[in-house]
Amino acid sequence: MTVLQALSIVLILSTLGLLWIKRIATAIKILSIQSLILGMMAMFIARQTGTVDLYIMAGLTILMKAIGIPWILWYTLRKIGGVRETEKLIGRELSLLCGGGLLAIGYIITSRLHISAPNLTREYLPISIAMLLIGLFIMMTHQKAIMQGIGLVVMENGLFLVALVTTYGMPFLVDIGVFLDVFVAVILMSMLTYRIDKTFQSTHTENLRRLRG
Amino acid sequence: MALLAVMVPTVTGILSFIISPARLREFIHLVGSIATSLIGLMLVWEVAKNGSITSQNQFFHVDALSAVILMIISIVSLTTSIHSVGYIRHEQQEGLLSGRQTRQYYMFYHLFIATMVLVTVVNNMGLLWVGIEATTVVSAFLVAIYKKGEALEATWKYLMICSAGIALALLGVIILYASSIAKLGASNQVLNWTVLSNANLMLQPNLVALSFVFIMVGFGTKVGLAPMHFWLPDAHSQAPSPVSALLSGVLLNCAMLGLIRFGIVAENTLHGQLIQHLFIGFGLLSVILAFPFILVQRDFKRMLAYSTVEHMGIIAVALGIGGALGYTAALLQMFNHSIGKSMLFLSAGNVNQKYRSKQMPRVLAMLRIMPFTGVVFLVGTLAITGVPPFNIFTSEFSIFVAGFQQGHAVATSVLILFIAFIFAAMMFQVMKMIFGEEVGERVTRGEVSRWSVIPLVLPMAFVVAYGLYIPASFTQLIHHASYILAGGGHV
Repeated sequence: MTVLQALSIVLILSTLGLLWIKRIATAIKILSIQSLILGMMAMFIARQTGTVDLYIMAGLTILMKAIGIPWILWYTLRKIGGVRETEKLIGRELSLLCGGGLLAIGYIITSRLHISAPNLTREYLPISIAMLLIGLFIMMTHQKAIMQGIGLVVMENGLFLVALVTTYGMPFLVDIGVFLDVFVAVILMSMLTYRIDKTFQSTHTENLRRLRG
Repeated sequence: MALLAVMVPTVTGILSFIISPARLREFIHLVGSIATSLIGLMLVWEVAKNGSITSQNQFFHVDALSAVILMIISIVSLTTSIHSVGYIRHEQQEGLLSGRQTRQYYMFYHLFIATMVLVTVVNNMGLLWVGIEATTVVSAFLVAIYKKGEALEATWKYLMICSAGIALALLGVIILYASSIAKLGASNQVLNWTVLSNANLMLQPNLVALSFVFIMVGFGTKVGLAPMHFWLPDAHSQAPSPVSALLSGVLLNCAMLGLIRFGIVAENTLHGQLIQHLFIGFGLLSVILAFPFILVQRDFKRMLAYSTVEHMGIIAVALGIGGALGYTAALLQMFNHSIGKSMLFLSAGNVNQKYRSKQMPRVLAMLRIMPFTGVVFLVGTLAITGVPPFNIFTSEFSIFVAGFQQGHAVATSVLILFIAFIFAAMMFQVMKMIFGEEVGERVTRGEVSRWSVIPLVLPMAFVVAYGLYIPASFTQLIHHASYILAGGGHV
């Protein structure tokens, strides 16, 4: 049982946990933990491969994704107040079951790919694909604006892990660029959430159904 | 040079935000726009004369393909910039935008152009993805500028759908990167277009196919191909009109450029039918789906947005058909559609400000109330639906010919059929607006302002002239670009 394996187990548990929780504040905490684990995994892989770029990326991940983004989301949540429970199209039990299904899909897909890449890939690629899918699933099933944003960040985390385990991260500039984009997108989502709340007195996306046809 | 092309709009944007006197800000905005367009056109000229340019330690690479898109950016952004001045002044007078919002508008407007230029000139395919995602984020600020319920809804959908879609495209890019690393070893050059476009680069076919499917879905979302187009009518109809013109006219072409670039890389490895089928399938679906929505639409900006979905579909089909003629026609169609559609959106903005409504039944007798805009709108509609002798007829006709030449008889027939249907539907809608009955005394006669009329002359000239005569130098540039498309690598 290596450290990386232990970390990856926590990672997948935290991702599945997002499907189970009831309060948005808890979801933000879980997202923060997830990003922290991701940063730590990047650290370990950086130490094994000895790449300086990855150290920087790991540091940035911890700083921005584990501290910065959750803080922005939490600040937005505090500003809008009101009901802070999540609202979903489907129940918690069914969500969790779907999450398990998506994890299985991640394993099935990657077992069919023959990537001539490091051993890391075979072990952790299924988890990262599952994270990507679960992020998308969260975006689709949740009806609170902030939760949809969290789904997007989970997707990005999954993508970061894909890049990490298949190619030890993308070229440095690309990684930084992706990071910037995600960060600005989160800031924009927070602003929009606040505006939506001011306009409709709630952040339920039911309100966003006027434009049709 | 390429660096300048990105820096000038960035600096202009920042200055527009800092400077508070309105007149001075408008002056800076216009000077910056003209400079951006001039630098863009100079780059295009260089490429047309001497072939592709690689600069700044391989960071930038401008080839004929980029040049075609750069030309679109230069011409359309100049028009929308001049129009913006009148449009935004009017919105401020009406009290729809505050001074602070105006400053934000000008800042994000120029940053938006900067990100679009970046997409066209950057060499690294990963950074191309970053640029396309950046255009989403920056333009989302512009779509949300009115801060009304509908604008917020449109922005939310836009940001969510496009970001999720493009995340899938990133997965595709990562897979492609993994595949090329396995071939070339890890280095920062591996994702560069100058490396990837090499036709003899034998990557693993199964990985490349998988990566391209993700890229097709991801960038296809951003291009607005059906069935991933749901954000498009909302965002394009809720944005301020100059921004709608940029979104429909320029941004979608930038996303299409990403799709084309990755398509070429995949085609070099696969040599198969997969990419053709994907392009033709998604393209046809877009054209077919756009028709009923155009027919029942009551909001003219939404109607124009669905017409954009249709045209992106036509371009995708043309790219799928391929062959020298098909590629040339596709690029020409891109250029023509951008000019025509931006002109239509700008005149729609004039109509919207005049009648204070986007509902078609409320807009009547346009030709009498706003003679100039009415004529522009009529010509634009005729052009966009492919009526001779305007520019789009030329390129659409070439696409049909190419389709039959390459043996895609069924697909081409369906395409022709639905283009005819859409022509009928749009004529049905627009004729009422232009020649409609008396409105009583609800609106006064006359145009909104000089600012919003004069810039329309430029695209109008292109729309009329390119239907009759296309300059040889431009044709040559298009031929160069279609040669790259046909797998000629970087010329």
